[in-house]
Amino acid sequence: MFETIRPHLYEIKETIRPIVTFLAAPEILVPLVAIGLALILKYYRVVTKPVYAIGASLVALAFFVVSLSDAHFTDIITKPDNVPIVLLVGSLGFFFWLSLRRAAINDERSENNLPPLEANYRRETVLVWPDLVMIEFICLLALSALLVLWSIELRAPLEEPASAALTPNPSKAPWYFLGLQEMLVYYDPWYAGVVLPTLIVVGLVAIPYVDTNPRGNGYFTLKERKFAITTFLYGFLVFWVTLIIIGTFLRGANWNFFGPYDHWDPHLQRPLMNVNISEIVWVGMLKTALPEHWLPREIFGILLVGAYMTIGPALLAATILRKLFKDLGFIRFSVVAMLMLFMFSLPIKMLGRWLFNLKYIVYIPEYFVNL
Amino acid sequence: MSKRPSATNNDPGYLYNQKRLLQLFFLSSAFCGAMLAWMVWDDFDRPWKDEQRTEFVWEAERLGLEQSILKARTKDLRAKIGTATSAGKAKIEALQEELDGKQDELNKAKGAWYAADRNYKKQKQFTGEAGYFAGHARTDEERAKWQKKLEAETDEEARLYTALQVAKRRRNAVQVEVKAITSLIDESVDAVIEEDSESELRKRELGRLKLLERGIKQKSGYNPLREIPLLDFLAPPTKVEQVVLQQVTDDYEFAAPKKVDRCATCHIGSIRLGFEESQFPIEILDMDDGSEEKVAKFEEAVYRFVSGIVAGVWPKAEKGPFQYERDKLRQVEIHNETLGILFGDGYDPDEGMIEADEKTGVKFWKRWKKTEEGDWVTATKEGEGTSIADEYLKLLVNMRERGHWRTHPHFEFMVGDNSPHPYEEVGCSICHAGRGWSTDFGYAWHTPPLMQIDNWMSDEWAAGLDFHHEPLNLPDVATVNGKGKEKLSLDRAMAMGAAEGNTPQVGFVGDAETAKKWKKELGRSKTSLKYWMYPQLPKSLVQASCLKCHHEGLYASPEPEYANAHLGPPPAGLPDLEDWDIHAKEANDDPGLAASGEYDGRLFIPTEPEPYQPKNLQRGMNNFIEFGCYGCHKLDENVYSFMKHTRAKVGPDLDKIATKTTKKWMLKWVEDPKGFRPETRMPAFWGLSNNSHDFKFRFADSGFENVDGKAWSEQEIYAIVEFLWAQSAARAPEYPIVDVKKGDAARGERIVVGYDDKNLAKACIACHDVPVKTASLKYDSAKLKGWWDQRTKKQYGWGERMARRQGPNLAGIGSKVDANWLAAWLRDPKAIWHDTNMPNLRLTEQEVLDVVAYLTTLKHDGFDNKNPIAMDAGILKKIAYELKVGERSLPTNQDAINAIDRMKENDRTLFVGEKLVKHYGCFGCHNVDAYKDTKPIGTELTTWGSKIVERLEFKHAPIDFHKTDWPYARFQFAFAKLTNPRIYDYGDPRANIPYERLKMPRFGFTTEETKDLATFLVALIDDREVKAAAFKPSARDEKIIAGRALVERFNCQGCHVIEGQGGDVWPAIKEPKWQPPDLKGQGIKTQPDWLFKFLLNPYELRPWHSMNMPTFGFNEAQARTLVEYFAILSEAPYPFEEAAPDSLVGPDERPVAYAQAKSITIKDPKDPTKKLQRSVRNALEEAKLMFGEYQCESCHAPEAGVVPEAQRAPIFMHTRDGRLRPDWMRLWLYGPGKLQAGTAMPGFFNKGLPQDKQYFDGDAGKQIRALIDYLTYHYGNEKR
Repeated sequence: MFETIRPHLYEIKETIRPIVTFLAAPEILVPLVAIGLALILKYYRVVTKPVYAIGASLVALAFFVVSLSDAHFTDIITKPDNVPIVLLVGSLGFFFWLSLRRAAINDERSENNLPPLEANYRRETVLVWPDLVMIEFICLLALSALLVLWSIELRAPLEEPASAALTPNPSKAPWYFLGLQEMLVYYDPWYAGVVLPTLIVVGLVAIPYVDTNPRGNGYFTLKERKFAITTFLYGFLVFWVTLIIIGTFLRGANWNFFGPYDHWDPHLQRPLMNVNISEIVWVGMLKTALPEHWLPREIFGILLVGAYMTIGPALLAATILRKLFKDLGFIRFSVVAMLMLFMFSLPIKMLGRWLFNLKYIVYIPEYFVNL
Repeated sequence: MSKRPSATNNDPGYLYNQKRLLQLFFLSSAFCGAMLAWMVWDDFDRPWKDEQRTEFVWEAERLGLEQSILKARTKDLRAKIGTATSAGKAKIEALQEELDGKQDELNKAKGAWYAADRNYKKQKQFTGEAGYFAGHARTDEERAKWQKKLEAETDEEARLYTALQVAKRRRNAVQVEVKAITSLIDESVDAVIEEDSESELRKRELGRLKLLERGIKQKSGYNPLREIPLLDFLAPPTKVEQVVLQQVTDDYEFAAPKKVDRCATCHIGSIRLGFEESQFPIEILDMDDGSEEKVAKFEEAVYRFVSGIVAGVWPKAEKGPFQYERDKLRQVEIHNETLGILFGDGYDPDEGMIEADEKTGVKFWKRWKKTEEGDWVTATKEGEGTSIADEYLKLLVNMRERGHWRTHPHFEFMVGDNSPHPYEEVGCSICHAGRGWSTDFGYAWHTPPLMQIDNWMSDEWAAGLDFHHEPLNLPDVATVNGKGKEKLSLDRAMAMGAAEGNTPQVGFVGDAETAKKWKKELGRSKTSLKYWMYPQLPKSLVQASCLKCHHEGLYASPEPEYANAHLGPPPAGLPDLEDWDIHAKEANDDPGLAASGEYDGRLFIPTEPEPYQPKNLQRGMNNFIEFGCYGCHKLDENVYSFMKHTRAKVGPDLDKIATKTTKKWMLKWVEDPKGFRPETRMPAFWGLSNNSHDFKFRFADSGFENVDGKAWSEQEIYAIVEFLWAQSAARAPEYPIVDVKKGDAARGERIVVGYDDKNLAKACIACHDVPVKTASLKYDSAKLKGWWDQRTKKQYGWGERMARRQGPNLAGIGSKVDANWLAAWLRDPKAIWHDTNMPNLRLTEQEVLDVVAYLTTLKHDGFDNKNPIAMDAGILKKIAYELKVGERSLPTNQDAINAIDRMKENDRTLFVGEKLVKHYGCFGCHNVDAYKDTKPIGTELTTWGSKIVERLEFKHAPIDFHKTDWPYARFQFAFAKLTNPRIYDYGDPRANIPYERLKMPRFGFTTEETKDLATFLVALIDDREVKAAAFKPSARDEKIIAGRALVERFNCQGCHVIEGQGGDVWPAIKEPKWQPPDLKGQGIKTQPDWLFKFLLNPYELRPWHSMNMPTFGFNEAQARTLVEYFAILSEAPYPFEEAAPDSLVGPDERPVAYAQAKSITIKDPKDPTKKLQRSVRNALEEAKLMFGEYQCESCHAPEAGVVPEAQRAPIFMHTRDGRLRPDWMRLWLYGPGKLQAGTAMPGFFNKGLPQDKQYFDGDAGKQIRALIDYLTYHYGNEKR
């Protein structure tokens, strides 16, 4: 049946192709997701109503079906190791909606001095046997069966033996690392591959110590934990999941960007003339050669980074986040601020790259310090 | 689970409905269990197992059919044995009775012996126990007790031992008796059987029948129980068939494991005989159709099948009792639906035809039927009403569906144990590529076949590609992208010329079902195999793998020149002509089957498969060499050793061009070589898709815009010609002026093309095409064309040669060359260009003048009337700017422009020309002194076939290989590039910059040539993994290869037949004896030393004819190579020829008599009617007399120069000069016709001819030897 409507879908696809390609470009997609998330969080009580959710699902489904008429798109999404990501996109969307929906209901209830939905559960405890063990076991069986089914139907994408002389193009990390790999585009490997992942772990470890807000335990809410949830969602949805999606579906040969309907042509050429801050300042503005010594050469970048790391938090503490600063105290606030600064260094670098072809803010290869 | 009491405050109760939970649990368990079962099934259910299971059934059926045929033949045999003579039978029965009695006795004796043995062994244990305790007793009392017991036990043991010995002897005795009776019976049975004269044969038939039964049992006894998962480790009936190659590895950069191939797991028949294509034709014919052709074909198929079975039933022994059975097979026919086999004779026609079968209504013969032709046998399946024909039909249908089961089509060459490439050493994927270790259709990287190029460029388009200087008149294309008529731009047309549909692609063939299967299976594994370097080669490209191991260039061992080619030392005494049968073909004929021609063509003899030849690859390689591709594209000769035999430059010397032709001609030629001579190998550099009218140049650096491509090209040509002209004007020698008027053009024409004029003709046509003007001189051009076309199709031992001629077509030569130059060239070509292939024909001065007079009349009017390019200083200046700026030798672009402006106009032209000769690499094919050390300009191709497909720059070329079903992209890339070398500039903005464009010229290859060359390019594979297995030519092979290279290069086969190929001029020469000789046996004919000298400095061997071996100017190394080559071909001793060991006169005793003086009668030379008595003292004198009487000198002139018209045989002087080998002379005298068919030499000494009794007592052997001695040692000396 699909074959009969395929030509029509193809027509539609060709019509929307320029739009889709435009939207899929990371410099559009990432800000779009960021702004979209902000809007959703602002109007979460309205947009989580089922009618909108169903509408959004239908639009997504329609896009998916139309896209199936594209051979390249179909190729990519049906690649066995990409299937989890397709599932991830769907399930993530659902759970994101579910939690926000519940949060919206709960927040409304709390305004009306009603207990949250979850309080309606009869008891806080259930019996281990049979309630817990049984459902765990049923899940285990069902999931095992699903995994077996998966392994039968989607063959492991075994490729040819690895050869140092003949690497696949593009060479991709496992799907869960694609966000990390995407960061490598904007950062020095040392920074993107070691420092940032470590800080992610450190940040997760630090949560119980810095997040002292007692509310929101055991029930969904947004209003009562706005800062924590917003921060998390930006870190997770925008800077991790979106990057994975970009890395999986939109990064093609030579790690170039391709639209979802574009063939990954290895001969595609993109101008990537990236410059460092030092070059912008010394060569671009001051019209002179770069100083020999790294300190004068990189002084602007160093100052910029220093200011970002010190003045920024101080200013924030004094202005917008004054309340938070009061709540957390100096040390906690410093930790939170530092983690936030690191997190937001990513979009900053991305924007710098897209807008100014910025490569490094501080570039001191002499000491392996490239920021 | 019982329901709990209702919840209290402290008791949470159940959260979920327990019943529902249990249901869910059950469902999930069942689901999981089902999935596990599916997993096991999925693991178990492999397509290759199906293949093998089907094979069991099929093989059993096949064996059953053989059995049926055999049974029909042996049924009466059994009956005969059963009704053997009653006396013999009675004797056997009596013996059998006795044997039965004895057998009982033996059984009893065996039982007694067994009991005794057991008793004795048991007793030994009691004795041992007693002995132990007696020795280890603690008290005396105990010791005494045990001692006593020990004694008793020892006695008992001795008693039992005796009993055992008795029993043993008894058993042995009976056994001997039984054996005796058995052998008596055997003898009697044998005696009974031997009463039948054919018993031995029949016994074997029975044996064979038994074997077949066992085979059927084995094959049909497929037991699925043994395949049950977890049990299948024991003895699974289906197994992966794999071969681990010892010499060939896989190349993983970091490791090199031995290569493993499992292809035979599914390709069941491929590595075995018995599944040959000829036995199981793909095409099963619809019998309902009833067309005669189809019926005939069907019968052929049946014949092949049955003869295959018969060959299997009666083994293929060369000699033995079964051979004649095969020979008796005459015909196989289908009568209605019954299979009839006709044997010549030898069977008892007991019963005739019986009536229709009741059940099926099928008529069949039950057994034999005597007919006029012979005996018919039809076999039926015992106990059933179906005929073998039915069974056979079923089988054929089966086989059609199992095409991949067939025996490898070149089994004798590629797979068999005795082949040069045995399966155990070479495997499959080394040639076929793909993933040999996979047993999954898709993951093995199966590739569909390469589709035929059906809609290759239309003639118009092909012409368009060669358009010259008129704006291309492009065809209107009716529909372009469904948008109606559109006038194509040149660029677009060129692009489309090689676009999808016009480039061969691999494609899914067959019915929709098959194609669907291909797509599904391959699609599943496509993504993960994307980066596999070598997908399986489509069938037509498999030959590309040959070059992996055969770097020397596909060496093929020469065919033996004679059936008994191992001439070695010739047999002492007279050779027996039967043994010296030199016509190998006759010896190979199968006398048995050939005798059946009388059967009205209904007998279809299975033909021997042709020897495998990678023709496309061979031709591609030859083209690569002949077109001089290596002039620009290096091919490492350390890898591809055939490159060692190539010429330095394939084109003529440009340093001496100035006195050879005119500048005007050269301008026109460079502009459009094929306009002057369509088949020239000189490619076109201009007028192509990226430098013609439609093209506008944008300047890279000098800033000019939009110059018309054609105008630009013309000025490039102008500058190049100017430069080359200036170059050579300084170097070219002035040749002596000839007066063409003194020459006689008509005589010249006779020299060039008058093949039957024995006073004038030279073999020019062997290398050149010549337009013949005079009607009387015209040779049968249709015939010539025929053999010329045929020549391209011919199989050559080591390659195929091209349709293009060795030298240039002489049409229009008068428009090209200067008469003075031509005369000098004809006098001695090598003096003008040392590397030329053109030989010196040793023409007299008058002949030179005649030929010059003739050739200068061959004008190319169309070409002459064309206007040469005129200089356009403005554009030339722009070119100069661009080149000078591109040089980057001056600080700024303006400096460069100024520098050009300062140049004189002439200097500027030369500057441009010099730069462009380098840019376009003219020196790759031509000698240009200024660039003699410059490196070639093209990409090195040594490992091109291993180039990663993604690194091939398809750029914007509209060959959308991504869209094709299954790309074989390297081939496609090469194919499109060879068709339109500039195609990858299509749509590329950089191509607007003049010297960034692609610059490979267009050779105008035919589609076939393009395909061949592309195959050759795909073959250039980096072959690390097969290094150990690569073919290493022996010293002998190397010499043959070198010899063949010379033969190819100098076109020896234009005149001579060498290795069975060549003789191009033969059809033009009416008299066979004037044709240049077939060089078969040259090695054993002439002495190496003479041949060496002759090659260096040939002389008139046939002075009575003007067509003689020309002087090629070989150097000594080349001459030696050729001499060795001929010696090896003939397996003749090299380098020295010694006196025949059985010579009647040794070197020391030449003058000494070896025969007693006697008197003999000879004819009087003055009056043949008279007889004279002569007395002779020795054999030489006798030989001389014989020599005189046989009038040898009446045909063989004694000296050159005095050759009467009648004498047209080689001159004896050369014999004295050491030309012929004595051994060869002996063979020759013995049977000239055997060595050279159609020779005029009479055979005086043929076997069976009466010999002249008076010479050497009528002993032909002695006569011959004496004549040879006389000719070799005496004849010349005597004359002197």
